[in-house]
Amino acid sequence: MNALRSYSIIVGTLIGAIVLSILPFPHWYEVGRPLWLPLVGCYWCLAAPRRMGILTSCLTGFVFDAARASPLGEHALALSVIAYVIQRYHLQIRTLHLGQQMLTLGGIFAVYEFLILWINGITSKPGPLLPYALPIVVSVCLWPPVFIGLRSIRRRYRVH
Amino acid sequence: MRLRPFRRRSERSLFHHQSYPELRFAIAVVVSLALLILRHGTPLGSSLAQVAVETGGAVEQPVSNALQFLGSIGPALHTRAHLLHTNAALRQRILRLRASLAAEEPLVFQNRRLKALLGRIQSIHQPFRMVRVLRIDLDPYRQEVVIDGGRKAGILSGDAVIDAQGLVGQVGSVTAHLARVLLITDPSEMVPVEVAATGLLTFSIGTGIPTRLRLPYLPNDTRVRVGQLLITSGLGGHYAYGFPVAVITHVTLRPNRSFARVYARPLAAISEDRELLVLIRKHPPQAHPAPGKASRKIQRGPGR
Repeated sequence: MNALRSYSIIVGTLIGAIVLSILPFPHWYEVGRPLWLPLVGCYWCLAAPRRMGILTSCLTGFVFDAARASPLGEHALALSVIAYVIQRYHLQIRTLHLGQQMLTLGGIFAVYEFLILWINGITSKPGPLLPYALPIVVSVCLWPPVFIGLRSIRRRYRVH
Repeated sequence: MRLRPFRRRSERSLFHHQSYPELRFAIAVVVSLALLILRHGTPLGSSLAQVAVETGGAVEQPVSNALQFLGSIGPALHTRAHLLHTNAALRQRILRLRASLAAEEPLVFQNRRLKALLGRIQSIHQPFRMVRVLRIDLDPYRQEVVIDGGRKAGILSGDAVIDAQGLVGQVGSVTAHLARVLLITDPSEMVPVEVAATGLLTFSIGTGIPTRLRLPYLPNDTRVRVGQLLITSGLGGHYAYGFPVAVITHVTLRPNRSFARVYARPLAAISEDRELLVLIRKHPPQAHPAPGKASRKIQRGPGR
């Protein structure tokens, strides 16, 4: 029963992240749009690595690609890479305090954005560089509230 | 003796935790890279992409319908006096527009005659379909809107899309009931344009910023000036001739470079548009057939 509940909570928050990423917003918000899916995905990879791992992240990426009509596999690849990094080092990252976690995740989000930029470049859609850098900063700043919010959900519904 | 960790059945995950993460990582990377590489050219890749687009569209429609319902609550609560007031204002506007239209009627005839003399085809009077905008995507690397008309409404990939002010873009992927419009400000979009005042032909390229187009191929002795109007040149046959596209906002001559730096502002109010017009092509050009189909056609050819 616990597994089912854990999965439903995780899938629910991931769907929430996808919806937040594709809802229409004014242009000033669009430029610094936080990386909601990596934020929420990273949290679950850290807190419940048995439920949310590399293949789950990959699958989530495919769903996101279908919802955004981006090249199938783009976000799947980027999410699997960061899920792998977190899977390897989740025990170390967990022991860090929030500030250090923000720095670590900054690096991880930079890798994610670099992969997206790279795939966009291959599929012949290069753009200006600043809009790739800004979401990293915004997402890192959003990590503490996301972490605390998801932790309270996790404790309340005992997801592990 | 080694002890195996005891686990309850309910705590086991779908993919066993003790297995190598490297293996799962390799599977994930191979699958996503394979799909990315297969994306173009192969029938499997394009059919998978089509399935993904159709599924995405099927999910998108109820979501955008719900959003639209939320958005329609506001207008439903307007007072009768407010509606009467706007009605009167709109009536006045129609009168004013009709008057100015009547004044320009002779000019239109004259223009048409001159155009015929110049040998240009006047094809603005194309059939069109009015569509609503469901969603706007103004990412720096993806400038798109989703519209509520698809194959069922006769919309095909490649149709030009305009609004009341100017060119908006062209239709990209199409599902049964939805279509994505690639805006002219998308970094991958190139529009053949003409400076209306001088007839100079060039291209505009999107920048990823909704209020800016780039004209990268104008030499440093260009006579383009700020404020000049750009219209579609009709070259390449993709967009018909004569739609207003943008106004030049910025010209810097750079003698040390090959080309001047020229920017323009699109006339279409892309981020504010609710309704758009899709120009339906009368004779849709033959789409490039998939390689499999083409070979089959060739084989069948002599038999007929």
